Amino acid sequence: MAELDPKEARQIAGVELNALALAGVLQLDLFAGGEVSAEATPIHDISGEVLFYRLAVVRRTQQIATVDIAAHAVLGDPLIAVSAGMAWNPEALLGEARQVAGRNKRLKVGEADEVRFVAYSYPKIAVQFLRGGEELAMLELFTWSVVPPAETKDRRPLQPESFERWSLVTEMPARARRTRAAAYAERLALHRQLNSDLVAYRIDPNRWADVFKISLVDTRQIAYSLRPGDHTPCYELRGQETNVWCVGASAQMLLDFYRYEYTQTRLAQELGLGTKANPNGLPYSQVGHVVTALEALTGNGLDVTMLTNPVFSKFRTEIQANRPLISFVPGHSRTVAGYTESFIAPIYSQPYRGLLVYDPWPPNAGVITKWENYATQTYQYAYTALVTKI
Amino acid sequence: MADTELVRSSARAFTDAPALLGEPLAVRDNAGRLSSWFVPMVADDRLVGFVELLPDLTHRRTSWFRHHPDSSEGCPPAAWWLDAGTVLEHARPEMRAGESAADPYLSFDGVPDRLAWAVPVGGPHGPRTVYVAGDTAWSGVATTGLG
Repeated sequence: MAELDPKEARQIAGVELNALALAGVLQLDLFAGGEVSAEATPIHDISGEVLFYRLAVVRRTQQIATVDIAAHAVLGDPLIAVSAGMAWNPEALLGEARQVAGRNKRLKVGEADEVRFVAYSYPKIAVQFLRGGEELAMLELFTWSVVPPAETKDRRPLQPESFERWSLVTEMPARARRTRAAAYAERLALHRQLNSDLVAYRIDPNRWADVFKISLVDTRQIAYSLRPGDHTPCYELRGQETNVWCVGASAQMLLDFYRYEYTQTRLAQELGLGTKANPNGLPYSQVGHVVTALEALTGNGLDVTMLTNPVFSKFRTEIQANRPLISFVPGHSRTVAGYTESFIAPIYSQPYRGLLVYDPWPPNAGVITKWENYATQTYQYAYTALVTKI
Repeated sequence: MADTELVRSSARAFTDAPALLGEPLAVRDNAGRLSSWFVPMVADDRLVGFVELLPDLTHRRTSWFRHHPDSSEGCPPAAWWLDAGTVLEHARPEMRAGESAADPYLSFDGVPDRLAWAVPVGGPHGPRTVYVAGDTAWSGVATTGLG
C-alpha cells in the first residue's frame, strides 16, 4: 500500500519545488509562476505496489517540468526527481502504447482490462497491459520495445542486465531497506509537521522565504593540503592510454596525487592489465588486487582499503580529509576528488548530492565531471588510500 | 521521445556555460534504444564539455574536457565527437580489407560510462562494430571486467 495519496503527493511536490528554487538548486526563473498539476500518475513496481507518483508542473498552458514523489519507503526520500523541461502526458503515452501494441496481434492487448505504468527496471518505465491481474504485455516507454518476461538468473541483487525486468521493492537488501525506510519516514514526518498557510502546489518561492532556512552548499575538492590557505584545487586528470585501462589510469591519478610517478604501462604490469599492444581490463574476480598493487607500488606508504557499495558519506569523509578515492561503477573505474551537497531546513535531509569525478574515459583524454548526480549512479566499490605515518 | 530543443533547454539548468550548448545527440545502445542524451558544449571548434541527460531528462552528469576553467588546451576538436564523417575517418584504420561501414551512431562500449561512436561494418568477416572515442578506434569485445 502506498505511504501517501495523490493529494499529499501534490502537496509535497509543491513544497519541495518551492524549497529547491529558493535555495538555488533549481533555476528560479524556470519554475516561478508554475503550479503542480492535480493529476498524479501512479508508477508501480514490478511487485504491483505503487512506487511513486509522477506529476506535471504547468505554467499557464505550458508544461515546464515533471516531479516524481515517492509513494514507497524503499526509495528512501519523498522527492525522487525533478526534470525541468520534460513533458508528461500519461493519456497520450497510454494511447501510443495501445496503438503500438495493437499492431502486434500476438500481444492481445485489446483484451486488457487494466493498463498502468510500471518501473520495470527503476527508473526505466514501461506500460503494462493486464487482464484479470495477469500481464498480457509490457512495452518500454518511448522505445515501445516489448520488455521480456522475468527469468530466473543467477546474479546479485540490484545488478540487472540492461533490458531486464526486476523489482526494486523485492531486490533491495534488508539492511538498505531499513535505512531507507527510516530516512523516508523522517522526511515525510517533517513535511507533515510543516506549519504553513501557503498554497503549496503554487511555485512562488519568495513567499516561502520565512518558512525555509537555507544553509550554505557544502562543497569541497581535493587541495594541496588541509590548511584553508592551501585550498587551491590540486588534482590532475589522466586519460586511459588504451580502451581498457581505466583501472590503470585511475591508479595513476591517485598515485600522482601522492607523488608516486608510474607510467600506465608499468601500472598495467602490476595490475595484470596486459601490455599496451595487447591490453585487457581488470576482471571482476580481481577487484581486490587493486589494494595489494597500490600498497606494493608505494612500498606500503599508502594503506589502501576496498569498500563495497560505498555511500555518499564515505566519499565526503575522504575528501574532507583531502584523500582522493578510486571509484568502480559497473564496467568502469574513475577517481573522485570532490563533492557538493545542499541542505534545506526544515523539510530536507538529503537534497542534491554530487561528486566531482575525474574520469579517464575517453582514451587519451578523459573528462572532469562536475557534478555527477549521486542519485543516478551505481557505486560498486571504492578504494581509499591513507598515508601511513611513522 | 523528447525533442532536441527540449533536451537542450533542459541541459541549461546543469551547466554554468549554457551559451556553449550545441545540438543534442541521442546516445543509443547496440539494440538502437535511447540510452541518454549527449548535449555538447563547444568553444572555438573544441569540445570543452557536455551535459548528459537520461531519456526522461534527469541529469546524469556534466563533464568537462578542459582541465582548467579558462583554457581549452587539451580539449578535443569538436569534429571528433560531433561529425560522423570524421568518426568514419578515425574508424578506417580498424577496418579490414573488403569491409564497408554503415552510418555511425553515438553509443557506448559495454557500459554507458564508456561513451563512443559505434560504426557498424560488414564484409567478408561478417558484421561487427568498430568503436571510436575521439581519435582512438578499436573493435572486438573490449573487456569482461572493468575497462
